[in-house]
Amino acid sequence: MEKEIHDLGKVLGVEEEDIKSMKKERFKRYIFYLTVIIFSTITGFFMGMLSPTSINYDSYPFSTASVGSVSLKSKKDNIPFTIITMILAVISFVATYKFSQTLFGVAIMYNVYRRK
Amino acid sequence: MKHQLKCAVWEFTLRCNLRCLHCGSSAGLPREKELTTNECFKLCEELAELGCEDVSLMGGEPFLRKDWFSVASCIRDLGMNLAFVSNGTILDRYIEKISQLEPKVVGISLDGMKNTHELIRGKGTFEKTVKAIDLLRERNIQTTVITTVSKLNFRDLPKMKEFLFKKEVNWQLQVAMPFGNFKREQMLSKEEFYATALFIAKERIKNRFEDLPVIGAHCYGYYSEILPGCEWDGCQAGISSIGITSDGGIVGCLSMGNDRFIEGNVRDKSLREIWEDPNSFEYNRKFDETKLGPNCRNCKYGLKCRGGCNSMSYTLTGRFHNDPYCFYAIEKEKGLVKEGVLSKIFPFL
Repeated sequence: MEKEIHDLGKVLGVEEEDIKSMKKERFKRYIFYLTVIIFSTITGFFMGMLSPTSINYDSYPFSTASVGSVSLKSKKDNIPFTIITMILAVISFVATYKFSQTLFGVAIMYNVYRRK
Repeated sequence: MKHQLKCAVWEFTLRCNLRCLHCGSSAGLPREKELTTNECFKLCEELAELGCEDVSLMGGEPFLRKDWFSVASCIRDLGMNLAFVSNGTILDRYIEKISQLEPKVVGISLDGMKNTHELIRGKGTFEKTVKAIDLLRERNIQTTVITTVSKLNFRDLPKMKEFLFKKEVNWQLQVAMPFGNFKREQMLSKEEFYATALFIAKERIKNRFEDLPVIGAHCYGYYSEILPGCEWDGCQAGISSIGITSDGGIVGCLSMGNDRFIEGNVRDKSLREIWEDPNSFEYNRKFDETKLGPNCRNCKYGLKCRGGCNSMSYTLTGRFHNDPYCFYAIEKEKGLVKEGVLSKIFPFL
């Protein structure tokens, strides 16, 4: 397959080595997204532990975060836990450019905490 | 659904000092009734009122209009970002004024090395254009070199890369489409199109971003199983961007060189009325999967890229959402796609 791709690109000096680099680049992206998704899932889990309401992230691939959206139990007055979870949420979602979702999540958590 | 206008590309005049072989607007003489200076000011206010963030003045050659500086200043005074797209041949006369305006970016068209560039754009243009690039960089103005790729200049790309390397410019490649002056037989074949995409991908991986950021314009797309980092949210004509013709016509995109797609004229209605009309830009605003053409209908990316560049699609197939110049389609056609587990889990990568 690489040979066929190379045949197309060689007219502009694209080498087989370059095709391999493209493959590597794509693989790095897979790993990055996988990491982010796992991270999001863990974060979502923490968020669910905190929140007595349901937080719905339905946008693929962040839907995994909604795993944590089901309320498990309420953690009252646990400020360090809240802060750490919020930071995790911000890092997790900003890493995937979904800033509005991040703010949404943070706002819900803020309100949940304030109510307690 | 309410759409937010973000970007306006304004054909400031159709007048041009060059007669390029690939010019999609067939620029040269100005349109019959181009907007007056006062009408331009009013339009700037309307753009600002709609919350438009970026305004690009292009042509023809925008610097041929005598009032370019006052209109450009008006854009800046209203808090919008300003960009120019120019052929660079008369830019040296106005460099201090341009610098004063602090444009976000100036796009300069360079279509090859000397012989090729001048074959396309006319004798004596290469040095002037290169001088314009140098002048802009001396003043630290963000500069994008725009190359419109066709059979005429396709083989010049590696040499151009050497030439532009470390000039501290961005390099944007876009496909020449067969309308206006440009002849269909000079358009890239699908193989050449894909080779250019491989070239862009290679340069993006190989070069440090600071040395030469190579950008494939929106028509270099869309999704791919081989090329890294290809994704596109679909044509933004009438969704977040508009084109303005020099006589006040509003279109989704200036590359839709067909009067049929003019949604209204700012001389007859306010820009807000045109923008907020529920029937405006319906090819994009009322898009759903049934609108996908036969080239895209069963594609797994169809709903994401919405059938590619509408301008390219319409020019080549006579309908929207049916762009045949698509990486993924070519990969499938050439038997290059071997869908693995990862690409099934992450179809967007």
